[in-house]
Amino acid sequence: MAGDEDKPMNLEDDLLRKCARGDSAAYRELVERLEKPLVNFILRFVGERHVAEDLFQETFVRVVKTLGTFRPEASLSTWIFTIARNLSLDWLKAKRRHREMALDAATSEEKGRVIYFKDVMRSSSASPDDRAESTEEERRVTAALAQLSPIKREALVLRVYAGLQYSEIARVQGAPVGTVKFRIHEAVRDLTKVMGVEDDRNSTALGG
Amino acid sequence: MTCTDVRKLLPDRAMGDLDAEPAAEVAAHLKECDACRSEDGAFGRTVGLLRAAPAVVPSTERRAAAVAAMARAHADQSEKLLTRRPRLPWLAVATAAAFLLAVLGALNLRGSSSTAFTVAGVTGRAELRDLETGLWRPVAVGQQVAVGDRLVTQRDCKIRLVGGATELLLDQDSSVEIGAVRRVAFDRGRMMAVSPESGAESLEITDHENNIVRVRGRVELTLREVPYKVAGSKEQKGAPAVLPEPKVEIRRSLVARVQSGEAALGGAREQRLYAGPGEEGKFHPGGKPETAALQDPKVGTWVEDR
Repeated sequence: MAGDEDKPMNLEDDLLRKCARGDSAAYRELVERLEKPLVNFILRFVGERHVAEDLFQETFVRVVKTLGTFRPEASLSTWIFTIARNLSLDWLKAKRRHREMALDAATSEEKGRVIYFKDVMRSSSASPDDRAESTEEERRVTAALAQLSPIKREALVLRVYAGLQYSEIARVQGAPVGTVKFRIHEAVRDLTKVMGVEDDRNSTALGG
Repeated sequence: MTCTDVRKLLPDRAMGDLDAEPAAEVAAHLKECDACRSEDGAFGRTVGLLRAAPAVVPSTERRAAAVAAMARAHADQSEKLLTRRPRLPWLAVATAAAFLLAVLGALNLRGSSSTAFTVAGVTGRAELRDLETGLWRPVAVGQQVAVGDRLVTQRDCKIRLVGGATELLLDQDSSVEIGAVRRVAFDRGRMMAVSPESGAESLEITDHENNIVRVRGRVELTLREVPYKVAGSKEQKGAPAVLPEPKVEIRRSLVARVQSGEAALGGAREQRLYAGPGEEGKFHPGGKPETAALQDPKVGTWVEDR
């Protein structure tokens, strides 16, 4: 009777309660469940491996700190993806701000020493370990993804690398499903344009 | 299908997101049209390249680091919860207890729940859901209400909760969840918050849209159900100009009516407004707060009529 009701929802509920109590076995289960889609999503979204590793960890720290605000109406995984995307967006914003500041050499001395400064310095050229791990193909994908607007890149990456359904992406982005579909559609179109330029350089132009 | 129609669908086709029927039509067109086929090839290569880029593989080190960071964060949280209101003679005790709790947390032992309120009075039937066990049980006088617990009152029921110098009176058909020692998530109904008009002991009430009201003094809080008319879609080209019927959605609006003291309203979008005695504050959908003079100056009369 009661056993029949063991739906994923109840499992999540149970996991959540254990996490709220500080049960590290529950923490481990949660991390294991989400590790692969989450770390891949963050990596493709921010484009830098060492940053992705930091943000991955920070996401779970934020989960512990904000467990009290989680509403059971949302699914646990979409909630966690939303936290990860917000942290990633913050980092991308900080990076852009610092890049603008670095151009303005006079102010960079005083204001530059904020949390992500060293990351930004490293990111201006990929760090040695980042470069060692990446293949030619991966570099090309990373460079092309970086050309997309964050919102389109996010939608595409959630679909391709995190394997989320459209409805789940819609919840993470806080947008209707139709908008998400459009963003992914546009992202593929933009990427093809960006990558097509490289194709022209490497091989012959496309037919038609 | 024309070339224009087909090309619109090619990115979705490359992602494998086309329904069977349009997919078949596009495929038929591609057999005959070189130009579209070449464009289709380009989209296909893009998506292929994306999918072929190596994925980050799971690593035990990454997982272990995340779990350790979570345990640290939990220990920090418990410590903050206990040291939040340090009355001087107890400061040392509280710090020691917090330290002990942090150690217990790190050792993964039970005992991290924290009492926020004590039930000081009940009329009728109310239930409490324990965070630890997830079970509902009837509320009795003297019972401790811990962080994470949820309280629901039935018809003709009122509860009085006391925590420190703060008092919370929950009316019938109401529901709250204790988020932290001084934070209450308000889901349904009506309540009266009573706390000292000055001093640090304010109470924070949040609604399901994450609007926040911080109250001091005597403030009545209501979740009012308001029907909002939502406009229909725009008229279409060529179609007769008929305005679609507006849809009506029921939204809950958090209203704070201040008898004495003040209510600080922090909207979900970070605007902040204050309502003083004889004023009320409420939120519009989307989180914009608004304050106005009380239309009915009687606040919380239901508290006395029992």
